[in-house]
Amino acid sequence: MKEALKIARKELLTYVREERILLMVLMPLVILPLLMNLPFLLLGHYYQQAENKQQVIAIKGVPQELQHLLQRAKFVVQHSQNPRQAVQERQADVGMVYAEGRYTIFDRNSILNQQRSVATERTREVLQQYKEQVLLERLQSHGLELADLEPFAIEIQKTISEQQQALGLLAMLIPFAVVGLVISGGQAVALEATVGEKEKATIEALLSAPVAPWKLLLGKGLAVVVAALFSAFASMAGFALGNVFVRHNFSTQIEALPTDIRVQMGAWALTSTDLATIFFTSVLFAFFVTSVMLALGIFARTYREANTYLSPLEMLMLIPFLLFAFSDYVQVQDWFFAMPGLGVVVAIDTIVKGSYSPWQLGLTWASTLAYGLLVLFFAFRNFSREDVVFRN
Amino acid sequence: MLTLNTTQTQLAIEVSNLKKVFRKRDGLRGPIKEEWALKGVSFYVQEGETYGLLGPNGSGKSTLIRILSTLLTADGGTVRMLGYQLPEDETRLRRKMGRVSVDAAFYKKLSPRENLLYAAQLYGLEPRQAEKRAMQILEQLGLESRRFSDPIEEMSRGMQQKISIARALLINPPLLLLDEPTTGLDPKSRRDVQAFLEDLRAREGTTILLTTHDMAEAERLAHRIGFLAHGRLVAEGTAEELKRRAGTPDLEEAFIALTGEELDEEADSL
Repeated sequence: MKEALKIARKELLTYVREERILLMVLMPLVILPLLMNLPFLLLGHYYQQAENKQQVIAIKGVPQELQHLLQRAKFVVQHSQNPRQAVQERQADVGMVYAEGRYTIFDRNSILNQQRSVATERTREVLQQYKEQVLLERLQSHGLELADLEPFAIEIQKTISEQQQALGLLAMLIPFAVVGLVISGGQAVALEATVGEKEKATIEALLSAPVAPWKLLLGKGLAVVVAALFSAFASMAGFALGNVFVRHNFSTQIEALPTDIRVQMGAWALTSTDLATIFFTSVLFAFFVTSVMLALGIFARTYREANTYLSPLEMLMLIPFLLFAFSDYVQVQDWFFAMPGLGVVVAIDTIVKGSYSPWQLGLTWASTLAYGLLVLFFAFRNFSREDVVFRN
Repeated sequence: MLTLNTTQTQLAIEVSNLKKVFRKRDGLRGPIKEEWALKGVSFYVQEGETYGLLGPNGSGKSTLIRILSTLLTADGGTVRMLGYQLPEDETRLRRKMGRVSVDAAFYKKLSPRENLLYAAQLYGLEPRQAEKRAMQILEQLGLESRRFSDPIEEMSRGMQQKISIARALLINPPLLLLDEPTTGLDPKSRRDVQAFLEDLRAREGTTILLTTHDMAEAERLAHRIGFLAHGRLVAEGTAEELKRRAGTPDLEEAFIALTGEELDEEADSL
């Protein structure tokens, strides 16, 4: 075991010294939290700007009372012969025409033009307020109230767990981030420790040392597992810290976001038990992935060949993504939990949503361990065969 | 002419009728083709002796060294080294054998110190003792100690090969397998390495099996020389004996006369 630890230490030292590999690990740590939070932050910033800005509304045929309401909502009211044209020519942020009992709002609403979207929303709110005011006056003239028009209320409640709701988009991203980063984080070290040794010819010195092949393999495997887990959980920490940092320092921008978008942004709402369960699941998955990579890395003659084997396997990881894209239509079955890779994604997904069952989780753990041991056996066989190690 | 103290009669290496075949499938479904790298090689090396193996590329030198260093398993014949039988006693033998390969393979991002200490740990050596010994060897080989912590990738081929020799000698092995240790080195580094090996042999009485393309090196270092061609040992003896047998004034011509082959250009030109 001491030898295995020394081998693992050397592998990790080589890994830390390799700028290219280190970059591959550190990049997601910085980029993922940025990708996760920056769009919301920019959106919040635009909404905030739009909220604070006095917006111009071009109107035609709008009654005096509504004009007063628009002015109270911070609109600069401009009379125009053609409000549509005024919006198109950017003389106004939004346009409104009243004709034949219909109010028409002119908006150039697009993702790239959030200010006009905000102006439109505010115009709609003012119109709604005016509508209720007119309605109330008419009802009162008949001795009725607004509530008389609503004999009952309708409420739609989402059945997803509070935790899932609180996590927002994070709930969807965490399973894929963990699985994806375990694979990408371990890959560089695994290839360096196997086919890298072949390409540099260091494998001969290593194999002629008085250390049993299984200890060599164990040491290399240990390094790959550590690198894979570090990559995944450093990024998770990045997600969590990024979220806390943004919420703490940019609260006004977040407050400016519409409620539905704010919910999507989510907050870090995993308990320590959830994290421990995800970590344990990831350790088993890292063990399985490490075994696969070592087996292929030992078999391959060159980096290019190893990448040729690994790329299709990574493509297979897209299957859970596709499955989750249609998750509303796919009923998750128990056997999903026993599938290599897919089982881990589904298991972490249920942990995040707070809806896992011990039986399903146990199935994922046991199957992942079994697959890992099976592939490790092949890796060991490859490592002990001179026709594989020295094939050229 | 190099002579060996004849009181040393123990055999360090005994190779008898050694055979090795490589099998390769021709395409995905084609027949398996066999290529014999060694076709029954027999020789011995006495304790303290330096035995030179000369042969062109593809003659089987590296395969032979790989079998002796326990990386490959022979398909026929027997190998006995330092009293141990291969492959049965390979783990015990590995502890007593150092090996230098032609390509000075290292973890290039690590320093000589880190590479050597890693090797030492694999052999179960105490790190401080290993470091001290490594420093001594590197100084004897002419490597400046201030470069001991620089990444190996920043070092010349000659320096890397010296570190490779230091690695092989960390365990102070009674048997050293050198696979073209001076190929690709500049003349000064080559002389440094050759002088070091001579000194080592004189000091420690280390048995050395040396493969080389370089006739002058073989004549300088080896007590006896074997000519290897197409997986067979076609001639064996001291440099003088081989030249006499071929009726030629120099070893290279003797090699051509006895094997019908020419050695590769690279080593001869240096």
